[in-house]
Amino acid sequence: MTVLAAHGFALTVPRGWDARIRLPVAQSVAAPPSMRTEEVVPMGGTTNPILHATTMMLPAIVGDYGGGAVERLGPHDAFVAIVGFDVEAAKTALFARRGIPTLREANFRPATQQRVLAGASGTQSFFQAANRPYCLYVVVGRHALRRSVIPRCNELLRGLRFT
Amino acid sequence: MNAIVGTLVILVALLSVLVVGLLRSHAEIVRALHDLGVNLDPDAPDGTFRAASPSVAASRRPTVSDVGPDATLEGVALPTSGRLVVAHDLAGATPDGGAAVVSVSGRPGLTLVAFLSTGCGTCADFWSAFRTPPTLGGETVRLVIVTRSPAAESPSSVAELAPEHGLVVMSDEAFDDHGVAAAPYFVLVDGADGSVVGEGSAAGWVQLKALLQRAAADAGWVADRRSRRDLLNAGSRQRQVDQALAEAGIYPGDPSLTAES
Repeated sequence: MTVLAAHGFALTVPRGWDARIRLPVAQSVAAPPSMRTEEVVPMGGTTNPILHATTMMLPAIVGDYGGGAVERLGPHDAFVAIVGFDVEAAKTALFARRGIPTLREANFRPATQQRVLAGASGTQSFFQAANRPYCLYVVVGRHALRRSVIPRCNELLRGLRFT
Repeated sequence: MNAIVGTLVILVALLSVLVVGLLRSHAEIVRALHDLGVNLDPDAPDGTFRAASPSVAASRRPTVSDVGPDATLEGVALPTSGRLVVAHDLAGATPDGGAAVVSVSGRPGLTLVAFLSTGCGTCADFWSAFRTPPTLGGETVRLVIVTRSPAAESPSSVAELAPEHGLVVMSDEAFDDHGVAAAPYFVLVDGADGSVVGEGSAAGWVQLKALLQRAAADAGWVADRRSRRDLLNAGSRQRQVDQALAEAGIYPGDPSLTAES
């Protein structure tokens, strides 16, 4: 197994997973050509560290919460995103939980997806580790088959350290 | 008279020995060049690539003795010596300062691992060609570009050349794991079991694509519900036409397709 370390994450990647850690840079949201405006375009996406991991081929371009990847999940695939938040948020109640949660079948619901995909389901948890706030977001390709996929996700998460 | 005839006979015999010697010398030179990876056949593809049978590919992992000499010829790296192997997962830095692990096994389809450099002239054609997602037999092949680590390659230069659709991993270890002595070098991997379908290099994308296609066919690699004939013939003429147009930057709806002359 390979250890992937960058931007506060150290992940032991189990065989069969693709994973990537990145620190997004601030980017302007591309305005549609029809807009033809001189307005200041809002900034989009987080600029905190993000870890993505999936049992399928990880596309080159993936949204913070898996856009561009979750649509391609097979029935036995999973996508895991751990998205960092601003350090100040660790003091809020939302991130009161310490340590990364263990995933359970009951956590997954079809409605818990950023964009609901038929047959799939997801779960979202907020926690803090090493005094930094994070969101854990996981999508499984087929809700009915989540029992076989969740143990693989937990194996991945057990190999994650926050530095 | 007899002396003249005798002299001529001796002269002809000497010339015959000379011609035979020259032919033999020529054959040895050609053989030596072939061993170095140079093919003088004008019809031969411009590259050095070889296919692996699945059984051989899966037989063992590389050892130090498998790694070939650090030799290139006109910018084209030679295939590593020894038998072909199972590909390794790719792990390293990314040009944007992050890190990535790419697994090349346990998933359907083919993965093309392209070992490139920002500084080599031969690589420039591939960086440019990979702006369009590579296809093989009409199917898109997953592209993973591997460069040397940030200690040897400029991440910003890599980022500038990297295609949007391709993952880039900067890893010296990946070069070592696959016995790659010089860029450009390519390894085509069957995602089902991580076996190497073919490996080698070529002077340009057009030549490499032909070699990849042949390697995939030689290895008996056939995509789901697709025959070998489909793989070789790109499925259908329609698909070939679409692919050629896409490679020229012409997509459905392009005004040039409907413009009246």
